[in-house]
Amino acid sequence: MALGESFAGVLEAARVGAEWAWRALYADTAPGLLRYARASRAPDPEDVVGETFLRAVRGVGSFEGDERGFRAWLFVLARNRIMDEHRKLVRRRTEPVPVDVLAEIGPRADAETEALRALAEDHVRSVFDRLTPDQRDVLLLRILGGLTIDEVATVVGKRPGAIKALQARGLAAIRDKIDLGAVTL
Amino acid sequence: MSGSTGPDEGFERLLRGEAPKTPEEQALGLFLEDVRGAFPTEPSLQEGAQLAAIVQAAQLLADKGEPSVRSATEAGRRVRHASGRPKRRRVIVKLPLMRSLAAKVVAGLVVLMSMFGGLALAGALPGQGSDDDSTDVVEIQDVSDEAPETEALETEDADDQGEDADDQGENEDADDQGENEDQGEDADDQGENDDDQGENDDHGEDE
Repeated sequence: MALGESFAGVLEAARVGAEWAWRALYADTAPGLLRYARASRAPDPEDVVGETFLRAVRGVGSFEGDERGFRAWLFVLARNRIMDEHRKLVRRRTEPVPVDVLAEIGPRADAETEALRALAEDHVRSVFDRLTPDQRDVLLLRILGGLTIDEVATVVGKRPGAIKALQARGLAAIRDKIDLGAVTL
Repeated sequence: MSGSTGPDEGFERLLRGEAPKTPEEQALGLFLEDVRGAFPTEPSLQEGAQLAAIVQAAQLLADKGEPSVRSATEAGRRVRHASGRPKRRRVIVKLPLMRSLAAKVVAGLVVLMSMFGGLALAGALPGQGSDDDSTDVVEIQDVSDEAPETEALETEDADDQGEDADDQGENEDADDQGENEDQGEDADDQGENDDDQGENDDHGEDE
């Protein structure tokens, strides 16, 4: 964790609206949230991160916990937001996207790097698509979010034993896919 | 899950960044690297705008004095307004009026009562109409019985006392007394009409 022992002071400063404190919290947690939102197929991962922090601003006054608890709490907010986005997507199949937004979400790196990244993403998604939504969620939170079993249980709203079982079944399905040579990057 | 303890331990080691110990763990480690490479840690494209909005919201809430109105566990739920929703409207929404059979029966009775009440006020009910008609018929019969006599008196007095004839027409007893022998009895029964009777007597004298 980047903040470490200074987290308590940062949190207190954030509660009174200190800009530097929110910048520190954002820099520490936003990249992980963005990875998780992208891997979870959120329609607008950037919006998920922004909304997550705005909800955190409203709720930080009553938050109690350490840095890991704060991180897990942010993932709870992000996951709720992603689920809301998926529900909206089901109700509204298409959503027009402005041209400038399309230009922003276009390739960031050079064409070769971007092509390799897209290829890797396709392969990873093909493996994760074999899993149930709960198994996929647990593994994404563990691999990309860096959360522990107990923290994932808090985020998903299940008991740690259930999270362990979901993780074990998910890993077994992934190993089958790996052994068949489906993931060869 | 004793069967999955071994593979889970290898997975935990890989998550901690330790080197894989078995070929199986090595394959799993490669997959984890693929996952992290497919979704790299990149700064948000909207980082500046998002940070500005976050800081502005935080400062607004801090100035307001209420940085949070909800607990952290309820942060994802809908905002509860300070005044709450009107209770009356909430009750109406939750309890449909015609949900129970008793409510339907009561509503039907109210409609019937209002219908018959309106008819009764209008006098259109059968019982009310027959009573009133019979009374009217009696009154008409009385007038019709007396009308010729009144006319007779008027014809007799019309030339001399037009005003007195009008008075006689208003007083039925006086008309009867003018021709009948029961004038004395009527006079006793109706002391109020004594003066009129006297006037009628005068009419007779004039004749």
